[in-house]
Amino acid sequence: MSLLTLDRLTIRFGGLVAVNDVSFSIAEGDLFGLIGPNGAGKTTCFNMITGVYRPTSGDVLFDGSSIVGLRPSRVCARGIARTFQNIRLFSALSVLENVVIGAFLRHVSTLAEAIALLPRALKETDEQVIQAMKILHTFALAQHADSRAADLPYGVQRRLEIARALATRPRLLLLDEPAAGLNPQESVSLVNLIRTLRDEMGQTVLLIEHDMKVVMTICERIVVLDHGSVIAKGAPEQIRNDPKVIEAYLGEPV
Amino acid sequence: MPGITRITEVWHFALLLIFTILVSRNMLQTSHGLAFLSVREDELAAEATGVNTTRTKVTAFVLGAALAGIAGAFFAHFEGFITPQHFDMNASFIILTMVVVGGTGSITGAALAGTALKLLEEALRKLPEISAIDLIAYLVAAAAMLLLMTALRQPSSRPSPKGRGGGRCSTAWFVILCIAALAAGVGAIFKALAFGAGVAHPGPHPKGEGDVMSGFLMVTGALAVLAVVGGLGFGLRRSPEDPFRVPFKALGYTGCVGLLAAAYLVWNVEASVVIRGGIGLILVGAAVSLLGYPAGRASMVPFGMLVAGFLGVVILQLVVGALLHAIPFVEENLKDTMYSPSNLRMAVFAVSLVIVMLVRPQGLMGHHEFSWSFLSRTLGMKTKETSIHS
Repeated sequence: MSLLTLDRLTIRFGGLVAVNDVSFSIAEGDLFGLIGPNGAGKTTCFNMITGVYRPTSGDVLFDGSSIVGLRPSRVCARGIARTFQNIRLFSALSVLENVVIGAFLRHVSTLAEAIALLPRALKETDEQVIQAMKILHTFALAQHADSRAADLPYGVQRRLEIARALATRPRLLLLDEPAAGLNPQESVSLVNLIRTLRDEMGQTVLLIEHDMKVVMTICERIVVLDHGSVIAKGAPEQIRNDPKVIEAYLGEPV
Repeated sequence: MPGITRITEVWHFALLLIFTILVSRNMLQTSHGLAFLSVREDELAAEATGVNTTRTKVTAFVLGAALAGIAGAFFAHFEGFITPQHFDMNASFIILTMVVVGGTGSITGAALAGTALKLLEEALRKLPEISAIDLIAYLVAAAAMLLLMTALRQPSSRPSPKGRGGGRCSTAWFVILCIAALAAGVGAIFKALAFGAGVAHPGPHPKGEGDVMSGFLMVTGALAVLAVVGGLGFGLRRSPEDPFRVPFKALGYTGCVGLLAAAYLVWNVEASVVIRGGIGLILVGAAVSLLGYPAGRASMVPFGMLVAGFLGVVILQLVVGALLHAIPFVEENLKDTMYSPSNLRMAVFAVSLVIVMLVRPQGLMGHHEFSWSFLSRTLGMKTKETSIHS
């Protein structure tokens, strides 16, 4: 049973067809790659899945039901979390606070309870903080817990963004170019991190990536977009040798 | 709308203030407050992290409106009548200024800025009237010094010979600044001597005022002259490629003495003991923190630049004023025009708002709630492990 299914997804911006008739589906536990040249519509796909854009036609099915038309926060509550291509942290807040906000969508205490400092609200906040600290420990961010998010080095900010997304306890994690701007060493540790997420926590991951080494080493299935349309689907070996992909994107066999 | 019964006492407002602070503080302590902050930081990211931004914004609006509504009800029962003029543009502008100056996101900042701006408003009411020409002269001088200081803060395009620190400001600017400071110092001393003479031979100045003023001006004026002359000499000998650091540092120390003298001056002003003591304590505290802590001493050069800026405004104002008086057209038309400072309060607020926005856009206390942890850090104490580190 597939977790996420894109069904003939299309979006037009005026006369421009940014994503055209894209269909693929992701099963629970997949490490799925979405690649393509610049402007192929990868991030637009992410934005349609997470509810930032509303597709012109087509459907997004998550766990069997359509999530088209839900606002992003509702999509997130259904269990799809994402990171951004250009890091979007809450820069003036501390690292810990960033992750605590990820846990906010599961809150049960009301704002009135929080203002009156009723025990349930306090206890819930404590629990959220403890959960967040656990996540920070898994991501080796615990020593940065009190520093401002904007003060962190770039690579650590990338890690924090993934940590924040995971704090929402998603069933599907969307990573938009997580290795962008990382040096080779950081990139390797990121690959290991994503592997760990999948192997030990069973996290389903959909990943946009430009770094071919990253994509080919960790993704088990890959979809290639070009000019908004799917030009190839399959395992890394198939993609590597697909003449259309080589022509559109890779330039030479990798 | 007249004829509202007056049932509000002043302590009701104190109660409301405590209630408001409690509501805001409690909210910020839980994850609900964090959701609000996340919307401020990055709406798209907040929405993607599961925070319903529309709902959060509406909640913030409702909460703010509810508190303002309570305050309005208290106000009506305090004044006995309300008209739309009570809540004109000025009122909203003043409230906005308080929040922005204090720091958007800091309760302490908003409270402190509110108190300070209200005190400023009251203080303006007590100042004597100022003639139009003097006012223009002050504004021109302040604007010129602001431009000068901005130019000084820009690193010069000229590469420094040693590649560090050098060329922080160009020599021409520095010479102008030194001349201004020197002239200000000399002028201050002459003025102080005149005041001293006034005390010795009772004239138009009341004795007490002459005493305090002369002491204050004498001390800081003499020190400023010494600082600039001596500092420039030392600076030129020690590091010819960057002779500006030493005199600015010396001016900074002079400024500290000036702060203490100003505190003494404020203590002798006719005002309630709370205001005198409060402002005096702030001035003394600033001087102590500048002199007493490594971080304070490290910022002596920029502080010296600030002092130089003030001195520059004083002296430039004298020059510009004299020039304006010399222009027949201005002299004829503006000779008798006087402004009362309390009518200028909106302009004063606007200027303070603009300066804060330029210097520190997030407000004086910043985005974050005030915490005492900086004190333990300054004193070198180990910070207590907070409960969140479980």
